[in-house]
Amino acid sequence: MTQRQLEKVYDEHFDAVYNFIYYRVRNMHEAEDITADIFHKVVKYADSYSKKEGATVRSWVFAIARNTLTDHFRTKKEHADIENMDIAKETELLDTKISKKQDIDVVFEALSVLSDQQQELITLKYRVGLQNKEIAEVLGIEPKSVSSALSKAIKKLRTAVL
Amino acid sequence: MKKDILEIIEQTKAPERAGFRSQLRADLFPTPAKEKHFFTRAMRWSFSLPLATAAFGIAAFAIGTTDWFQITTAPVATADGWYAEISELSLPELDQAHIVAHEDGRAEIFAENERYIYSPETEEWAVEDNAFANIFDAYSYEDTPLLVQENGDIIIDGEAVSLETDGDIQQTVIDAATKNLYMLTHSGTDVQVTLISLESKTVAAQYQIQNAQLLDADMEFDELFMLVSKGNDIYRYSVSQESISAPEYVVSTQFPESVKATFNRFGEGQYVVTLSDQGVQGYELSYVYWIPRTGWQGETVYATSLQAPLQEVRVHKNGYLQILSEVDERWIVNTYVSSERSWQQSKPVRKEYSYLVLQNLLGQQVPSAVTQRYIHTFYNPESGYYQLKRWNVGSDLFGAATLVLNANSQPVYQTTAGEYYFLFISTPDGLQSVIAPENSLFNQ
Repeated sequence: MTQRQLEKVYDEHFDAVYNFIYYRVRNMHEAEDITADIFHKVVKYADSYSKKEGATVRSWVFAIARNTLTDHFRTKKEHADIENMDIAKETELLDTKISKKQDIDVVFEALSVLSDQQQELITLKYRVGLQNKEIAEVLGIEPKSVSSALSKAIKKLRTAVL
Repeated sequence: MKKDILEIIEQTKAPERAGFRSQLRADLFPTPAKEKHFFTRAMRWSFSLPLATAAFGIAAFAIGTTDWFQITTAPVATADGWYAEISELSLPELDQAHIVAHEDGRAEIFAENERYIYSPETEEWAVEDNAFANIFDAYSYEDTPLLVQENGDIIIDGEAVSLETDGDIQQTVIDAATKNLYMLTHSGTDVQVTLISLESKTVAAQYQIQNAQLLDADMEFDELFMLVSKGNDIYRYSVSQESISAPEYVVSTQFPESVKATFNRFGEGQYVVTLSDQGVQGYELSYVYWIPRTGWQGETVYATSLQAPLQEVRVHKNGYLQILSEVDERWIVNTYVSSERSWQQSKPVRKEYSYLVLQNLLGQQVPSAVTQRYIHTFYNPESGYYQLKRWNVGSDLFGAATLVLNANSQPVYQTTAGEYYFLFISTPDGLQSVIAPENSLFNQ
């Protein structure tokens, strides 16, 4: 990929990637760090992207995003630091606009009834806007599995917020 | 009608910090300058970059909706180079050279055998033989160089004046307001203070402090403020043309072995003695400071059992003290604001991202001649980013400029004079300089 193409990838996918990450980590600073990590990797490994049959740039970017996020959660678990988390929460509150925070709180409260995998699925589908086929590529599962897993997650979510 | 939760998810964007997207984009894809209208601002930087030796281009861009202004270099030769490159100047060690910055934007470098003079009008450097070797200190005095030689002689207007001083020079302090120069020497046992009138070019007063070591000295209004140690005790003296004060006890250094004491200038004639004790219970930081007309005060300002490695403690001239800690691969800066007696904590910033964090996070600072604020410089040798920030404690970022240095380049000296900012960079090819009106560097 040329630099111009990479810039286009960044411009087109920044929002979706950042939103996906934020929905998963629920912290602005962590979301920024991880998003930065992801795009550094996208640039670094651009040459490794090859358009497989049906594979899109978006699903390639999100596969990197998901792997980076998995690494992040693994590292975080290993280095849990209560003091640092408190700091992050504090600065998060300062940075986040109240009106947005309220909507986000509603969403996060609702999502909390779901498993991690279901939250990921709902976020990729409804916040990021990936097609089922793309979600399947990102998660490495069959598209029909995406449909059934989504149905279950939606049903659970709606039941919980009734 | 109540919204469906999936609809709310679709419509609820994650909050985003203004400028982050642009910062990251700039970090990933440096942009050629001429595509951006902000280049006009960059053009105001002084330059004289011969195309034949040009190694840098320039990229300038605004970041997001914030007031950030970023300047970076790209490996593209251009006639619109943004700083002067003195390819013919090769100084093996910059500390063998003395740089003088004048308020009219001229700069002079006194090296072993040569004198380099920069003119803001022609934006070029001229070289001539340096008639004055063995220079200890150099100042700008009434826009001419004032040189202090290692033998104690001073040179004003190109004229050498011999002075009777005893011992080796420890420090010199100039007071442009009263047109005096203080020379502090040490005989091996005693500290000697020699006050030189720059108008009459004669010794106006001389004092001895027996069995003492000089710690530091600075001007406090129209008097010289000195800290000296005698044995384990530290004393303060005030020196003027008329007299030297009686010694005033400050503090004793007889502390447990784990305690470290450091001495810093602290604002207009104020000094701070920082005592740090990293004992088994954690880290404790106390300081004793001098407030004119009030005297010495002391307090413990930081005590923690935080296990995070404490990287650096720094006292700044404008009344605050900063502690840099590393927590979970992030920098956290705690700032104690002495006027408010309270702590402020920075956002945790991740170490490896050059657009946010620079290795020498607390960096150097020089007073801004234009705004009475301070210019902090942060440098990350790994990325080559050199960032200037002009700001005030307790306020948001006031202005910033970033430039990228070539590999093996290192910023070595910065200062301000008049409305000008001066930065010197050591490179494998010699010394490079940025000399520019300060306001042209920062967004207001």
